[in-house]
Amino acid sequence: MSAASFAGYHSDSWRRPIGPSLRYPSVKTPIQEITEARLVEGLKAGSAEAFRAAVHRYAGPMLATARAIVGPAHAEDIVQDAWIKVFRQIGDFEARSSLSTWLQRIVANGAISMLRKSQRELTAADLPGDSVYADQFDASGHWSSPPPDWHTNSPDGLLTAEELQSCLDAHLGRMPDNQRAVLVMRDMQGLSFDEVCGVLDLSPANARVLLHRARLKLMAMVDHFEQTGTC
Amino acid sequence: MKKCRDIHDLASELLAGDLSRSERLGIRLHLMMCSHCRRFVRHLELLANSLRQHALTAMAPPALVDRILATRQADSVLAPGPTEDPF
Repeated sequence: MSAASFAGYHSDSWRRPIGPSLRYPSVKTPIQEITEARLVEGLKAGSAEAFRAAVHRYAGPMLATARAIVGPAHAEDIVQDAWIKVFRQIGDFEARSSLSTWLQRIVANGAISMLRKSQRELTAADLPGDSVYADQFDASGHWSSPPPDWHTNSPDGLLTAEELQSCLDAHLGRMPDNQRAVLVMRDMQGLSFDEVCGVLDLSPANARVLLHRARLKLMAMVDHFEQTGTC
Repeated sequence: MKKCRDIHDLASELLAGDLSRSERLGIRLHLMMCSHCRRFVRHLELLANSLRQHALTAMAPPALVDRILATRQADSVLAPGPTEDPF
């Protein structure tokens, strides 16, 4: 797995709000009240309004998945291409998974294909080597240089500093694609572990290692920031 | 007896509840005695919870949505919808 220096990636785009809430006036039923089964029924019937509702509901999470795998620069194109596949292949959807998972798989496959074309594979073969904390243990396996305390114990307060948020963006951008993809999908998007493994075609064991190593990198970033105020 | 390095290796699995009973017990015994590892595990959990709150918002940019809808209109593969759209 090559390092994460994808051409065209701009590290300041991870956290920008990606759009205000929209409600299309032509949708008779509030979008959030339409069940997934009803959406599938409408999509299969070729309903333009069902398609509009589905795009409104799922394009955002699909964009987050695309960004997780390839970074922000090409993510919108991947999502747009994914929706072309959706309305061409919806007739083949057999509800073996949820519509949401099916859509995520389509966009993830598109993102992974883009990586392959740029010769950057999203595989589990190149699992990370030593942890960033590897040098902080003594020969007997105990902390020789224990982690510093953080200024807050509150999730609300941890990543609020603008400088730390910039550090977070930078570190996510430098992370190997597979680590970033698992971390963003699991810890930021809140997908279940099974969903992440299914979408990214990873074994649970590999996904666990990737997630843990990604988290450790960000922990070390926070440690450094807490001690120095810099990335 | 678990060591600090073991806690470092297994902390995410501990938080996810993916460890065997005997492993959980060994880790908890170590955590009772090691403030450094207690801090480490606490920080890992705090980070994971903080990341969730910084997730990207769930809505796509309007311009992207418009492009997707325009592409669908231009695509001739989709069959015409019902006369009265149920939505």
